[in-house]
Amino acid sequence: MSDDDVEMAPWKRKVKGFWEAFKRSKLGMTGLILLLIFLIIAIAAPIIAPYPVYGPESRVGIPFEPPSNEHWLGCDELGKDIFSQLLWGTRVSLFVGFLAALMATFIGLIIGIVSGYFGGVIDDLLMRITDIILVIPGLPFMIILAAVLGPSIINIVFVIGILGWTGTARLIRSQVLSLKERPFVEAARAAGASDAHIMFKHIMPNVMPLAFAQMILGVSGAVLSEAGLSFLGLGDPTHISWGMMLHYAYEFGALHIGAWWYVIPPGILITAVVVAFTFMGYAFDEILNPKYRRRR
Amino acid sequence: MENKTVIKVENLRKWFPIRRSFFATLFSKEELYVKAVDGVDFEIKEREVFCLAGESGCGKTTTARTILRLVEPTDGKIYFDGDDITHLKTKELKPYRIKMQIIFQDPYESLNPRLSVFDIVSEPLQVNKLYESQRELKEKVATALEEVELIPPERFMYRFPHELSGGQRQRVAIARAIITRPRFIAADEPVSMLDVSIRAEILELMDRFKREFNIAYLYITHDLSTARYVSDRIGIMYLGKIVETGNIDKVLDDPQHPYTQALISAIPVPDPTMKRKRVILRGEPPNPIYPPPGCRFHPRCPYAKDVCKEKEPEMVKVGEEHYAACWLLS
Repeated sequence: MSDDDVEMAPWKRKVKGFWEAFKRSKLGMTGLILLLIFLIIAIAAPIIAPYPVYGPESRVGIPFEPPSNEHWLGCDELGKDIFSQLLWGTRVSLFVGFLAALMATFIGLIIGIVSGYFGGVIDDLLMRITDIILVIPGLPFMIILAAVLGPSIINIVFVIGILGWTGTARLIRSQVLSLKERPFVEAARAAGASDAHIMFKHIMPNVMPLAFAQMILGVSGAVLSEAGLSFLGLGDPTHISWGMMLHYAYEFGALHIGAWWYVIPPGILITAVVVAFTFMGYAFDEILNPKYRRRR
Repeated sequence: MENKTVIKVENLRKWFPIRRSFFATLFSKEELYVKAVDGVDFEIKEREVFCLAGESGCGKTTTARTILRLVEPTDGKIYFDGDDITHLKTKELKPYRIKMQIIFQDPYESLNPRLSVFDIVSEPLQVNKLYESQRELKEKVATALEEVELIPPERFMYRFPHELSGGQRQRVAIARAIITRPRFIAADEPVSMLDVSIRAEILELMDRFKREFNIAYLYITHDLSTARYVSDRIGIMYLGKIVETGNIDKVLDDPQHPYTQALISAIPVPDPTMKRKRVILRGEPPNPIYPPPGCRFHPRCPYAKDVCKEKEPEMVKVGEEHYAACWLLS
């Protein structure tokens, strides 16, 4: 280690070390580049989209018009430009994916730490709740919940988040079970530290990387769930998402007409986002999960 | 001037209940316990080092953890500076926590790998709000690091444990222990994981703090040679009980209990031509769930008599500052 490194702030050194390891992972870098492309599209959609997609002025072509120079991916049943819709749809898919995964990871992290740290009755209670949610068939329950709550983006996030934390909770709990027996926890207690201090200062930083990897993996699941719910017509009708596009394509018989330009592109994009996050998740997991980490 | 007693332990017991399956509890009403510590008495004065020695699993570490109230005592009394702290609640215990610290065996495990040296050493001050400003906190940490000879402190403050050597880590652990100026430190095999070349330095460091800050030490070890080097008095533990205690030189030079004799004869002597009487112990220490009746040592004792199997021996005075519990002596 050079003297330079010693002078750096600790968090900077951590980030640097992580980045060095991540750079070496081809899978991770592929995912990251894909994700960056999608992020740019999501942010710049209003600028780069050739046609408007909301309101009456969005009907710019003939219904089910095939791809042409004016409309690269043709038009939908209302004559709206599909390429522009795809660009706008990136926003909703990423937004829902990130937010739902964040929510699920946060719940899983807290429940995992509390359950593992306190043990006993609290652990039993929290883990039985986890078991119950784990055995509920996910999609049917999401459909019911989404139908009851009504179609809006925030509800979709809530529905996905409230069901997606169980795996994280169990993983974190098992990690906490071993962490809390480590002497540094006992040393903190001997110094007079409270339970809350030990949980947040000593245990949380040690499980944070794992939670982060779980979150990245969780995004792909959330993106898929959002597409599924929207495809079934439970999405937010005021926003365009890829799942929503598939929903209308199916509803208006795009497949019977042979309008492949309406069906295939949203499918490819959903797959691409899921693949991007899964690749990154694997790379993170490999670097951060103590199970795979080589000893320094 | 008579030194004050800092730690006094009376008849301390720690029994860990055994978790059994649901069916086992249905068919038997008997509760089972691992009797890790089973009636231990001793006291430690200011500037004194009391050593607890014995085989692995004899209850040395549990004794220390119980005194520090890291595990709840099952029975007995713990006094700190004359105050009974046996049953104090978490809040009431806080002022005592500052004055009692612990140093662990493995410096790789006792420091949180995600915290910097500054965070680790300043923690006792932070959780007890023992500082006015960030500046004061930093100064105190720097002083503590200087005291444990991690110099210059600025070079070590923002490092992480994995960037330090074993000896440096143990120094960090000691800095954390002394930063609140405790009156009592339990050192649980503080040098057994370290290189032999570093051991003396660490022990010397601890000895210096003993004199400078009037610390009372509980020194836990299975290594009788370092015990003699640092301790004033010693207690030999076997299966949760102290079998022989007293002045360190008296106990080690003239051991009375057969178990102590066996332990001492196991110390290697760096002279291959020297002939000496070896006392070889048969078997393993018995299961602490079912300690043998009578004297706990009788199944392995070369001199066991009938009475040893029936009645437990009392601690008797065998010399000036020297006590042992064995039927051979009474």
